[in-house]
Amino acid sequence: MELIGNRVTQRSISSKVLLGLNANQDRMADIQQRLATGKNITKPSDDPTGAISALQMRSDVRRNETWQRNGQDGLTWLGTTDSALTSALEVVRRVRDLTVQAASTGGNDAVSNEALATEIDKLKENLIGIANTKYIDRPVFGGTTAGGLAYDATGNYIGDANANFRTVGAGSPVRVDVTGAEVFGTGATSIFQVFTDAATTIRTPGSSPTTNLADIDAAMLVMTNQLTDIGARYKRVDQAIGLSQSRILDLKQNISTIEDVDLAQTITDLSLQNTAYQASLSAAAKVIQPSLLDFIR
Amino acid sequence: MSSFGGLSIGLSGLYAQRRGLDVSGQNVANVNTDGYSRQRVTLESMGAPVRAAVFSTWKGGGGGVAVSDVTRVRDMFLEARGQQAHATSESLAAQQIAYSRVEQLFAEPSETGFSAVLNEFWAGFDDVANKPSDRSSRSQLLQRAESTVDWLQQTSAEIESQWNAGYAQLTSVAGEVNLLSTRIAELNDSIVRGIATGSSVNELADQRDGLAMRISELVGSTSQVQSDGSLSVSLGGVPLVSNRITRTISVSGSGALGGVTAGTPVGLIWDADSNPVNLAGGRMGGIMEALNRIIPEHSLVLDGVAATLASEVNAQHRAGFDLGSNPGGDFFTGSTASTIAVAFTDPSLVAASSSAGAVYDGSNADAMAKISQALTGPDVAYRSLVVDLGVQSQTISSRLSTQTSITNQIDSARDSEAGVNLDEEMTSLLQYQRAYEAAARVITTIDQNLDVLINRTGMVGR
Repeated sequence: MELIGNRVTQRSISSKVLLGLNANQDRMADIQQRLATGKNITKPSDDPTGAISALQMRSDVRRNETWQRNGQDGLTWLGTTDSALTSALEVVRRVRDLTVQAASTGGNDAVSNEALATEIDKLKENLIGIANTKYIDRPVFGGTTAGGLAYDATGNYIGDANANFRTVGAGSPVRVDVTGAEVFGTGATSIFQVFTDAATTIRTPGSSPTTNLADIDAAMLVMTNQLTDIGARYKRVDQAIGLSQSRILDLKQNISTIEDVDLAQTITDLSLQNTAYQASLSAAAKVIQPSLLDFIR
Repeated sequence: MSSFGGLSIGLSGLYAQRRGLDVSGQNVANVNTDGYSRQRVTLESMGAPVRAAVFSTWKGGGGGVAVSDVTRVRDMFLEARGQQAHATSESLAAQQIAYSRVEQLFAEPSETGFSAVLNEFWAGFDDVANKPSDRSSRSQLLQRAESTVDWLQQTSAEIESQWNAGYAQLTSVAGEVNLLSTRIAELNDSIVRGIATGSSVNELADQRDGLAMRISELVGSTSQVQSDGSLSVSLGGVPLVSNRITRTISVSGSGALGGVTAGTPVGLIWDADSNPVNLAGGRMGGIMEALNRIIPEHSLVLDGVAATLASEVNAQHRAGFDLGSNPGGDFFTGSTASTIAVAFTDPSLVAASSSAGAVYDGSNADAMAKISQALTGPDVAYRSLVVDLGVQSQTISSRLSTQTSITNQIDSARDSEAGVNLDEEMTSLLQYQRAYEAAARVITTIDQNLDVLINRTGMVGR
């Protein structure tokens, strides 16, 4: 007996039903995996463009974190330099006061002049100590010197002229230090020599330290300028850190948008899929069972 | 017209309906048998003798019924389409498996993939740039460089072992194809003999069709039934099985990933003349695509990433100076993913400084950290590997799912054509049962007639 048209057989029904059920289960498993991992993308082929953006953004996050770390390190350098320079300026101001005092008394009292000169000598040692301020075993005014000091005990600069930079953003690196040579000078023009000269002048009976006063003022100007400069760089680094921070937040949010599942959406999908699966199960139960056998006796 | 002729007509009816019941029974019994084709009884009414004797005429009716054939219902054109669809499905499935295994190696985006390892490595340079005098940050950098190198070497080794597994599979599938062709040839022999002696070969033919489908899944072969009932299977236009004769195939080409080039791919050859086999798909086609293209391509790109990493870092490292004020040497040795290694273990040899005198300068380390941003750097090369892999894998997956639904449709058409429908068989059973009862009634009727003739005729007045 030949039937015209599409013949339906028991096996074709059951294999179709099975295919449908399998497809339903596949979709369920997919949704369940997304819920379990919390990720929409677990392998590149899930969403190649999303995956590449996520990769790029993750490495951007990493970059910004590094910039932030560099910036924090730079801030400590600049902060240390800043406070050292501030206390150095106080010392220089005190020396200036003493010199002014010596100039105004006219150099007629040898005992008091000697007392002034001795204090200036002490302050010079004090300033050398400040000029050798360290940050993690490195003298902050020493450039990139491998030695532990920027100035020796007599006030000679023994650091080098190299600058330290930190990369804190996509732009050019920021210099986070200033060398002793730039702030305190070297050799005959160094502030330490100026102090020595001032003490010598004050000790010399009858001479007035007017020239020394001018030298001290000149040195103070240099230091003040450097301090302002350091303050400006501190601000720049601080801003760069803030920028990186907000950039990291943005990036993380974007990564989450791309990679993470929308819970409400996915759970709704799951329950819809579950309903579809149950419907196909009950349909299958109804379709597979009956045959003519149930009706002929 | 003879007196007893009617009995033989009834008897032929009994026989024919019995045969019909038997065939229906066979169909019902095999309703769940894979590859079984439903069978159908072809009945033929027996007419008058075709050529009566000279000067005689035949005045009788028909001579009953005979079973002329029990045929197998299977559409060979549908079978050919099925073979083609299955071959394409298998080929795509093998490629999809290859892609998904490669993808498992590059499990991105993640917190543990190569991208993260590389980021750590670059951050190590930043730490050295911040604290060039600190030996611990230099040691940390070297450790991170080791992790980077480890990842490359391990992934390269895994790609290679994946290739080796594919090659082993190819060899075993070639063996299976040879075995299947031998069995088809044996069945051909039995079938041709069976047809000659008039015995039923339907079940043998079913078995042979199953084997032909399997062989076509493996190599994408096509098959055709010949006039003598044998099945010839051909592969790329060359006969694989023809009647009782088979031709064997074997794997040719390099047995190692390193030996695969565009000029010397892994292939199949005919054992008889060593000519290449033109494979038309099938699982072997898919595996060969993986062995000749998918795996080598990704292995090459990974090597490229390693080479870029080594050359970019080395160039910048040589421009710097180490803690001993000596010019930096190579940071990495080797230029492929399997051979790349960190060139030294002494942390003081990291050339972080960019001027010979200033050993505590970190600007060269900073410059090396910036390689991560370079458009020609290893990060970009790796990212493009991942996106290419993702796109290709996605394409194959979607082609596979399309092809699977096509294959399912054809299979369901084949099932509709050749499968057993129980309702239909039940109806046939009823039909044959009733016909059997009726044929028996015919015999009873004639018997009663003869009874009248023999026992009751000529008894007038008795």
